[in-house]
Formats: sequence, C-alpha cells, structure tokens
Amino acid sequence: MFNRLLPHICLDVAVIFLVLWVLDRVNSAMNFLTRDVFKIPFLVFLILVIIESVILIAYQRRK
Amino acid sequence: MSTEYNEYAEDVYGERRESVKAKKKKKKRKKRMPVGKMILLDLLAICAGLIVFALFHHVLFYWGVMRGEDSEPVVLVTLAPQPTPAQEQPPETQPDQTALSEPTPEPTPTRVYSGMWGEKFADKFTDGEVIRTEDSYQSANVNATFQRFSEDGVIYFIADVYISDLRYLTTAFGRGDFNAGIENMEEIANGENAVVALSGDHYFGNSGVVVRNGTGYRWSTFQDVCVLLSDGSMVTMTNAELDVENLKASQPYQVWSFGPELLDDEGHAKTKFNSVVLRRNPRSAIGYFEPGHYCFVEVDGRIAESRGMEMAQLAQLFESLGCTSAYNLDGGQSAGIVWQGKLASYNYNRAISDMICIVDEPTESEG
Repeated sequence: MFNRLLPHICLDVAVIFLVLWVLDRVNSAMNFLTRDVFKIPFLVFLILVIIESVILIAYQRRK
Repeated sequence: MSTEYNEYAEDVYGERRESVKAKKKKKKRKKRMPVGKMILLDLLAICAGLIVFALFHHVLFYWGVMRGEDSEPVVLVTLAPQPTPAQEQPPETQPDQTALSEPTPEPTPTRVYSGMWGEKFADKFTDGEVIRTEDSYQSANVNATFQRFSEDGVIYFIADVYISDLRYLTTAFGRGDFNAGIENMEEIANGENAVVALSGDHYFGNSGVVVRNGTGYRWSTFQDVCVLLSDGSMVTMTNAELDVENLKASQPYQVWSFGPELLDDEGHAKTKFNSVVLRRNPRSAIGYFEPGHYCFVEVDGRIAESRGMEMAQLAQLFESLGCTSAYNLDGGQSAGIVWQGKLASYNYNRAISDMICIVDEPTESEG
C-alpha cells in the first residue's frame, strides 16, 4: 500500500514546491527562496522528482 | 475407483481454485482506480497542501506577528534634545533717565537656529510662525512644497522637504505601534500630525530589517535596504551588500526594506533593478539630496487617468530631480501620499502598516 502511495506523495509535494517556485519568480517579495544559486538546482530536482514519480506510477499500474 | 475419484476431485477443485483466482484477479482489476480519478485525487492533495502552506505562511504568521512574536526592540539612536527655536532677546537694561529724550534704536534680535540644519537652510525656515498655503508649508523647522504633475498619461506628486533636524522625519506605524496592524493612510498621517506623509515599506508583509525612529525591531534580510543615518545622510544598498552587524554599528535612524534602489553611487538612474515588478505601476519612493533635504514621490497608476510608472522611469525622475540617492517603497495599491491631512493621491482604499512622515512642532500660532 505504502509503495503505491509513495510516488503520489512525492509527486504532490514536488508540484506544490513547483507552484511556490513559480510564485517566487513572479513576485520575489513572497521571499520563499532567497538564494539565487539555490533556485535552479532546486527546479531541476523538482522536475526530476515529478518525472520519476509519473514513471513509477505508470509502471505500478501496468504491473 | 479411488484414483478416478482423486483425478475427478483434482479437476473439480483445480477448476474451482482457478476460478477463485480468476475472481480475485477480477476483483483486483475492478479495484484499480481509473486514471482520471487518480489525477483528480492528486490535484486535490496538491490543493490541500497549498492551502495548508498558505495557512502557515499567511494566517498563522500574521497571528504570530500580531502577538508580537519577534525580537525585542533595541534603541540604537537617541537624538539630542532640540532647543526651542526662538528669537534671542537682548539682555534687559535699566532705562537711562538722561537719555529718555533721545529715541534709542530698536535692538535687532539675534536669530537662534534650531537643529542640525537650521542655519544651513536658514532661508527655508521662518522665525517661528507657520505659513501654510495650498501647496506649501513653512515653519521654523520644516519647509515643504507639494506639486502635482500630469505628463504622458501619468499623474504623480512630489513633496520637496527641508527639515532643520532629523527628528522631523519620522516613521509612523499603523495603529500606533510595531506589528499593531494596518490602518487608513489619513489616520496614520493625522495621528502624527504630519505635514506630509508617504506610504512606507509595508514591513508588516515582508521580512526585512525594520529600524524606525532610532529603534531596531527586526534584523532579517529581505531585499535592497534604505538606511537613513543619524547624521541625516541616506544610503541604499543591495541585499548582497547588506551586513547586519555593520548596519547595527552604524547606528541607523531609519531602515526601510523594500526596494529596489533606484540610483547608482554617482546619482545616475540604474537600468537594472533587484526587482521583478518593473512594469507600469503605482509607485511610492523617497529621494535624498543632502542631509536635511529629501523628497517624496508618489505615482498614481492602474487607473484610466494614470498608467503608473515603470521602475526605470521612476529612477530617471529621481535623477532629473538631482537626487544623489533614491529608493522605491511599497507601491501598487499601497502607494499614497497625504498632504496636510488629506490624501492627495488616488484613493485605493487600502489600509497600510506604516508611513514616512514629515512632522512639525509649531511654536507659535499659525500665520
């Protein structure tokens, strides 16, 4: 059960952070992310998590 | 017989077992959630997550702010007591009876200049009376002129201010105290009896350094800061340049955190800004010429009569005014300027958390 739920949790959390990342870009006064050097690696990480989660969910459904 | 029976039983039970397995599989297949429903549930979970985040980031944060869960305020600068501006009276002398017949010339009183810049800007201040007109205010401590401009579909206001001492430039909090809340602009300005008041940096909604009237309230960094030092000079600096310990040591009188800074070190308009809100908007900004001489600029925007200013246009305006330093404050619908007790700019009906005020202490009845 947990194995099947985990990719969904990862996907949801990653999308939440992606929304916050975009909000921070649109209005830096939101002050979610303060260091520029951290922003791009963080975005890459989020995208990778989303891709990995989708692949895992699809794989589990096929199985 | 028994072997036949066994074979028969195996066939029957085997089939049954297979049919049970098939049913289970079917059941399992039936249990599998449709893709649409799964995506919908994921979206709901994402929305719930964002709502919980907003709850913590906005609602509970403000509750904490309202309860004053922040660092203790520290007094950094105490301004020296201000001598009352008055005319120095010549020493009383005993009347000389023999000279009564001859009229003695009236002795000219020696003027006493008040504050740090009273003598420097002597021609700007009066001897004590207060002279008010529709667009100017002059007293022993404050000289302010207020102008409204309408150019290229943009309405903006400039208040040019001379003060005799730093105490006449103050910051007022909404509802009278740090983190006390937000309040109508006219109420904040009139609570301070301000000659002119400009909307501030909205410290309530950001996390930057807050130093007001010589007291430090918060030291977390946010964006570009504007520092008004106790000698009356005003400097702006980027977030990267800001060193909080050095800032504390410099004994700032006011620190505003919003930005961006608008002019470079040589007083030229910057072309790149530490902000993403660069397009036409209502603006509010403070400019500095020299110690004791400042200006407030408010730009109306987002209305049919006025489109607002781009950040670069605002910077150009301050350069053309001759400022050596200028700093953008909270704009949008929070921008506003109150002149002699009345909101002069467009009324967006938004309560704000702080205003920069020019105040006066009239010593004599109004002229």
